[in-house]
Amino acid sequence: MEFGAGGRAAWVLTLWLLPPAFLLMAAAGSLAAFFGPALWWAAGPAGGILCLLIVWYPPRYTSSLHGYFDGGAIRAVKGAWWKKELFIPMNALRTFEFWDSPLQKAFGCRTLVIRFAGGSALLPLLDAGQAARLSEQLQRAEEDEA
Amino acid sequence: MKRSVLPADSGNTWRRQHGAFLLYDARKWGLLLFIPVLRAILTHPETLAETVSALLTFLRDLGLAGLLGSWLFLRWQRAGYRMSGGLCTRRGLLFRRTLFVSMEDAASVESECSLLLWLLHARRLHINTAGLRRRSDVTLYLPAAEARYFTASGRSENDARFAARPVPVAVMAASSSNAALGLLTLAPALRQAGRILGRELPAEMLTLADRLLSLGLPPLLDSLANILIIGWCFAFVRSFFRYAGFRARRRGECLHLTSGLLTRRDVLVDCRRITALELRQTLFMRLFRLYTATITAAGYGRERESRPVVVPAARARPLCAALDTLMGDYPLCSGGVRPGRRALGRYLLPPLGLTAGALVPFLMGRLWAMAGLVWLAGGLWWLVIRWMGFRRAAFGVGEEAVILRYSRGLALYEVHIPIEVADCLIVTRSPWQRRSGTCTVELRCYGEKRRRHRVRALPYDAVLHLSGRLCSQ
Repeated sequence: MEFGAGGRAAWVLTLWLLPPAFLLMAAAGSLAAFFGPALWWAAGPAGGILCLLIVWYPPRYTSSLHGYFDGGAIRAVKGAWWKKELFIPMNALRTFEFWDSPLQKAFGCRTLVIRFAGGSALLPLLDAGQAARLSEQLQRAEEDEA
Repeated sequence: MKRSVLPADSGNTWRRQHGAFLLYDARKWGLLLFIPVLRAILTHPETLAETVSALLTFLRDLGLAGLLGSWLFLRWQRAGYRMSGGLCTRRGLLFRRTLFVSMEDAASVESECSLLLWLLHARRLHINTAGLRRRSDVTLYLPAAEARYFTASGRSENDARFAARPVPVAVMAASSSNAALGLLTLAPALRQAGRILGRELPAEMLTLADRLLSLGLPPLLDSLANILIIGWCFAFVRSFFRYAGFRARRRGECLHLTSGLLTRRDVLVDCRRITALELRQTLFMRLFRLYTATITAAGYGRERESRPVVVPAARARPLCAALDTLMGDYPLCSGGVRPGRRALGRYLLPPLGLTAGALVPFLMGRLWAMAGLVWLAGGLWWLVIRWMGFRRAAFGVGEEAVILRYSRGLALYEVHIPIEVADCLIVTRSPWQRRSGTCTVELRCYGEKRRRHRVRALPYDAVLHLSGRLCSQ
């Protein structure tokens, strides 16, 4: 089965990015106020770039997030600039879990965490329906393996 | 039945640990026991009232010390273990803790004998499972005879054996210390030698090296260099003492490793749980064509600064012979995808940048010339390693194992991982790599120190083909 980011996942990502962006802007503004008006010129373009990133980055990231599970391995691609391709064989899978924050629930998204002996991999903002089907298939595959 | 690293059941009775437990357990509180002694030494009562007060205080301290001693004694009395279907331990007075490690889950047993433990005829045992904990799952203090019951893997004439000579161990200990630090630390020693020679020989006989060094390290750098040389020597001696007298023996599924000069360590590793075989080579070792072989196995090499060594330092042929003897059934993979010539820049640019940065202290003046020289030497060292790393870099997937060859820091690595423990393959592509059709490959598998194996600038299409093979197997 194929899976990808939820339809409104970009909104979730934008809302996640907004608080740190505001904090960064506030810090830049404080620095400018403290060290003199010359830094306002630097704070302005920095804020502009930050706003652009908030608008441009989330849809790019969510459109790049996709993958499929064929019963033998999970393959996934994520990342807007740095593309990361994950290949996880089914026999390496130890546990998997889904995270639902209130924000993700509101926008119909879920995060899949895949744990193996050497660490873990995170697939955020999956479509809730697809995530449920993926969960069922992973469980079935694990039962078959057992 | 498969043999575990733990010995067979010894009945259902609880056994008490050796008295050394008390000594090691009291380490946390031991200093408190000196309070009455210190108070008795430091107080000098002059009046009768002061004498009575000092005496009462001394008695109170003595009472508290007695209580603490009794508590520690009771903790030792109540701490026990038994072997019944696995290892079961219990400890604690108020907060009682019982722990069970099954036969199948125990991955390694380590027996430690320091000078103090040798005098007490005791051993400290660490029993580990394949978890990502920083400490051992179980630590036991046992009489030497009982400890031997745990670490005795049985002796037979047919056992495969390997023993390391002192010189390779010393080479490994020297090479595992930071080479750049070694260069820096050499400077004051040479300068001092120049001074001593200068008193006896005419000025014109002074060597170029001494003249270079007399360009001058600032006093602060001089002191720093002296501190670093002491640190380097200390690290070398510690590492040498840890691995001196290294011996390895294979019997069935158990690998029995023995090493240590002052503190003797016996480690039993379950060979089925070895998740990686790593061949390491620094530039210094490459000059002598030496390799160090280490393994990744649960519980072995868990402590900081320790290296899970199987063969400390050996040339290619003796290394192959030793590995055939000890790990003949371990799956290996040869060959694989290599980076193209165009990727050379990606390998060499970071060290070239660092080397170019050495110009800054040279431009800053005479005082910083020596720092610039050390910087330049460090940069060139890294450049050579990266160039070798480029020539050797590879990623391959065989029928039974995966191979990764790469450079990290100031060393070259060749890692063989059995295909069934290769957990996750991550292929990363930056915008520049997408344009050039290359990628970075990272393979994750279980390891005590969560080390990541990463090969840069490999052709993307070939890697994709290999990843398909990895997933299908």
